[in-house]
Amino acid sequence: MPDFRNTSALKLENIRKTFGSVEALSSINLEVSAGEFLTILGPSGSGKTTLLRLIAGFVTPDSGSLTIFGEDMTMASAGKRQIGMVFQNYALFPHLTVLENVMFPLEMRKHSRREAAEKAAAALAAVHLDAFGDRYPKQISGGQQQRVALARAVVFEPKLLLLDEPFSALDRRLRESMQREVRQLQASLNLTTIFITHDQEEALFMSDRIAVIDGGTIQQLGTPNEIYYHPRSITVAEFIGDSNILEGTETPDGLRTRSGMLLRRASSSNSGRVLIRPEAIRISREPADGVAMNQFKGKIANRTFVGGFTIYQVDVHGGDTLTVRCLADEETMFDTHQEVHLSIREADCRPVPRDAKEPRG
Amino acid sequence: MNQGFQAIKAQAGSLALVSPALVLLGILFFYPIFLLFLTTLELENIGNYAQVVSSDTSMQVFFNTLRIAVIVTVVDLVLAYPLAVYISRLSPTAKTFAFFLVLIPLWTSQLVRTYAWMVLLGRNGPINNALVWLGIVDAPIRLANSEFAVIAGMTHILLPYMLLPIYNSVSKIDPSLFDAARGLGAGAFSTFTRVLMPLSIQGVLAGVSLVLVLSLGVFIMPALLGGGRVPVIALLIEQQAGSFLNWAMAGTLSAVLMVIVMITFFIIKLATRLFVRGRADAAFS
Repeated sequence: MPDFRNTSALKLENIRKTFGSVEALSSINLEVSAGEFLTILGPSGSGKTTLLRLIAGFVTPDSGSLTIFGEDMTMASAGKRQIGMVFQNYALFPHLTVLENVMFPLEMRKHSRREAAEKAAAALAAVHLDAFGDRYPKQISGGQQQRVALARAVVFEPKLLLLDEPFSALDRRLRESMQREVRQLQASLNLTTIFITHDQEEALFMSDRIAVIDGGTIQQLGTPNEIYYHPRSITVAEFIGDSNILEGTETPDGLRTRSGMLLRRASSSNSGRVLIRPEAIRISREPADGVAMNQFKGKIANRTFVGGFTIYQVDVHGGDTLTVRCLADEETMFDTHQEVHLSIREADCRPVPRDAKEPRG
Repeated sequence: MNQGFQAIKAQAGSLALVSPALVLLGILFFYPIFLLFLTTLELENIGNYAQVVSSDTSMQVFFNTLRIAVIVTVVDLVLAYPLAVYISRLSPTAKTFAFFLVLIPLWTSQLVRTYAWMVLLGRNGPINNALVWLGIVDAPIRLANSEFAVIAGMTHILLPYMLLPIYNSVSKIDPSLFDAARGLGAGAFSTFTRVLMPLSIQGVLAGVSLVLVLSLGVFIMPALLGGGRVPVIALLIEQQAGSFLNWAMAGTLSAVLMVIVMITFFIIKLATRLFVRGRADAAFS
């Protein structure tokens, strides 16, 4: 089997796009390997939709270049790019049956009607909808419409698959099963996939790599682990997962917050800022044992029970408040105003670099 | 059983809602038409009808009327379709302005608009002046008092009747369908024939039937812009009733026109059923 990881499926170089006086994308550089599942993650208005439409060919960049499998496609029309796309609202043709919808891209490629029907039926079988070919889109459920859209997007063996927030309209249970199914289909077809979402959990779950985009630029590109544990900026840290971000002054021992807490870290930094994930904080009645630990006394300010785990707001002596998340345990749940001990491994106190544009405080 | 009763009750309710309009139509519309129909039978039973059908003149006028109506409908369709698509993609403000422009002619008296065309197409009108000034013609040509003038005027007046139903259909189409079609490999032509047209065919057929039927009965335009050179059925009816006081013949011609209109409607209805193939119910319900 050839090593697809070495082949560049999509390459964006210095892409810029403005609408009137608004700069939607500024100098986007991104390379996606063949077979990779890459997520473009960003809040609304971040430029991710423009980026997707630009890759799909509905928008052309002001400058920069776009290459698909080595071929310059910067100015190529959407149809020439051989990209399968699943739209946010699925965009199924309401006047065509499910089967005819899936046949559409094949017929546009001059396949015979019989061949198109056979291939379309096979694609529908792959998404478990072989029995629904004669129905119209309005006659099937949202999840089924989504599968049809997926079948239509992959049936002509596209070079790239684009998914534009396809799961946002589905309820949670269905969303999770669709996410798993899409990932499996993508892996079995070894199809290079670019997935757009604003949902960070979805991004962490689905992706080989994530590009966090905000303000029209890629803030960070990396594996889900890198993005979660080593955010390169405050924007990324706050966007991915829940976080405690503490600011203070650097001392030889560690970071001292304004209220006087001293946080020792495994690695030194001079950013003046520390990120602690809520699940990295241990909470207990008695001081915990352990080396390379930061220990604090605190008082429970607030408790939120969300089934699988409990979220506490803990006031630490001195004035800082930390969010702590731990697995729920009915026996050892802490009450509001209870005195507790917090322990945080030094390795879990991670420095966060300052954003480039941010003034030093 | 209970369901059947509910259905009957619902039907009775709907009937109650339309009955005032039905009564009004019955007294002011169907009854006079019935009287008119009776007058056509005064002379030797169906003699009037035999006379109309066997007369070369009146059959030619019917044919001419139909021909002009078809030309006007086709020209309006070709003008209105792209315009409807264009307007549907405008910003809300621009859309309001566009509709204002479309609707002004509808609010203006047909007589005023017809006189405007007479000025426009006149011997010393702006079009002739422009043609002479550009050197395309040596001397002013006859534009008014011609079939061209009648067709131009009718096309203008009836355009909104084509535009509005088509716009109504086109604006309901999800714009992402066009992106989807393009992305899946459809060119402009395929996008039109496979996506835009099937999804707006109902509006198109509604517009076609409105314009066709309205142009079959049009009177003012041929009377004022045709200069007596463009015989249409409405003029013939007016002549029989007004000049010859032959009410029976005028009524007969009207009845034949009505039959033609009804046949036209029926054909379009059939076409709708053929093109939409029951899919609309499945797709849009």
